[in-house]
Amino acid sequence: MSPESGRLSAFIDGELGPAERRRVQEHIAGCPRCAEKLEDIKSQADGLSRAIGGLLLHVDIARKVEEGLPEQRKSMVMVRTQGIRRRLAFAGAGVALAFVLFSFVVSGPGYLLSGMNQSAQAALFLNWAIMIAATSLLVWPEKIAAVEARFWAFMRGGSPRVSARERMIVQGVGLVFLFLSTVFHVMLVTGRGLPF
Amino acid sequence: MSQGARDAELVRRSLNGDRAAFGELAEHYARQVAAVTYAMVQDREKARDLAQESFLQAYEALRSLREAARFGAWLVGIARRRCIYHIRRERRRARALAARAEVPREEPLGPAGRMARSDDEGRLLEALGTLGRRYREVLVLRHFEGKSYAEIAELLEISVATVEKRLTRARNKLREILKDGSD
Repeated sequence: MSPESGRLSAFIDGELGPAERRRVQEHIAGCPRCAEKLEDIKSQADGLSRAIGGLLLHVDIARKVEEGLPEQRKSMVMVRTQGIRRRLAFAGAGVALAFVLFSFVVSGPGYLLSGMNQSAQAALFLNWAIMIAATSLLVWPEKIAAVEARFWAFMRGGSPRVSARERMIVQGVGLVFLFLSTVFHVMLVTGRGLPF
Repeated sequence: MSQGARDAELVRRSLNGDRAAFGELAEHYARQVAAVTYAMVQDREKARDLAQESFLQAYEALRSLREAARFGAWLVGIARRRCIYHIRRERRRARALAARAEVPREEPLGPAGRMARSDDEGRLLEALGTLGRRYREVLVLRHFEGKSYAEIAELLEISVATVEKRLTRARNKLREILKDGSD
């Protein structure tokens, strides 16, 4: 294997400087193996250009993309939170639900309404509403962020757009609220009344 | 104006709601993205759909682009991830199908079945499919788009030397495969 044979690709693609180009040319003139290899790679390269070029020649993506944009503005294509983050969101909601159920078991089911004073009951129901809202932030951040983006677009003008960062913020807020409301719920139900 | 500066300007205009500016970006990068998605999935139709989706996703996520001058490399990153998701989904679906119906399992992206062409070009594409993804990428960008090594390097965020190394290896491998096939 000569050092020049490693540069045959660059030679074919015209990526060599004049001096190196000459060196490779001189080498090929005296080396039938490299000359054969060069021919092989050249014809292979031509074939590939034809094959791939023919395949993708009529790919008219740009026009379709531009056509796709206005529609996107109306309906706001949503990229769903994918993969691991989505699973984590469901896991978080699941853990919260488990805590809620567990707290009922600990406190005894009958206590819930009979043993609580009215303000504690009201706090409990309000807290449930917060939990549900937080869960929806956590599990459907893209929908909430889209509504928010529409609101701001309406207020400031321009087109609504949702970035991945905004979705993450929505999800983070949901997570914090879900955590706090879960803690609050457990305190309410097991602490037999408001903790303060 | 350099491509980077032009991209940055177009990105800025797109962010201000100028859809034609994004159309210009799409015009410039459509074939390059198609080359990358084709290298990933090796199916013309799917490559086209994935490239298109990548642009729409890029449009939506444009605000999260930090360096507007490197729009190309960022876009290629999006396209690659989209393809990876797509490939995974296809694999899962194929597995689920195989498990349920006891259908003989097929490699979803196996080049053999899809490229049942008997001519030389078909053989070339088939051989291309047996190369690793990184090798396919440089080959397709080089031969479909006629990109220079420097341009490929910038788009894929690798060095020019790496581009040359991958191309050399890819071509040597292709040559071996085609030789073995014709013996």
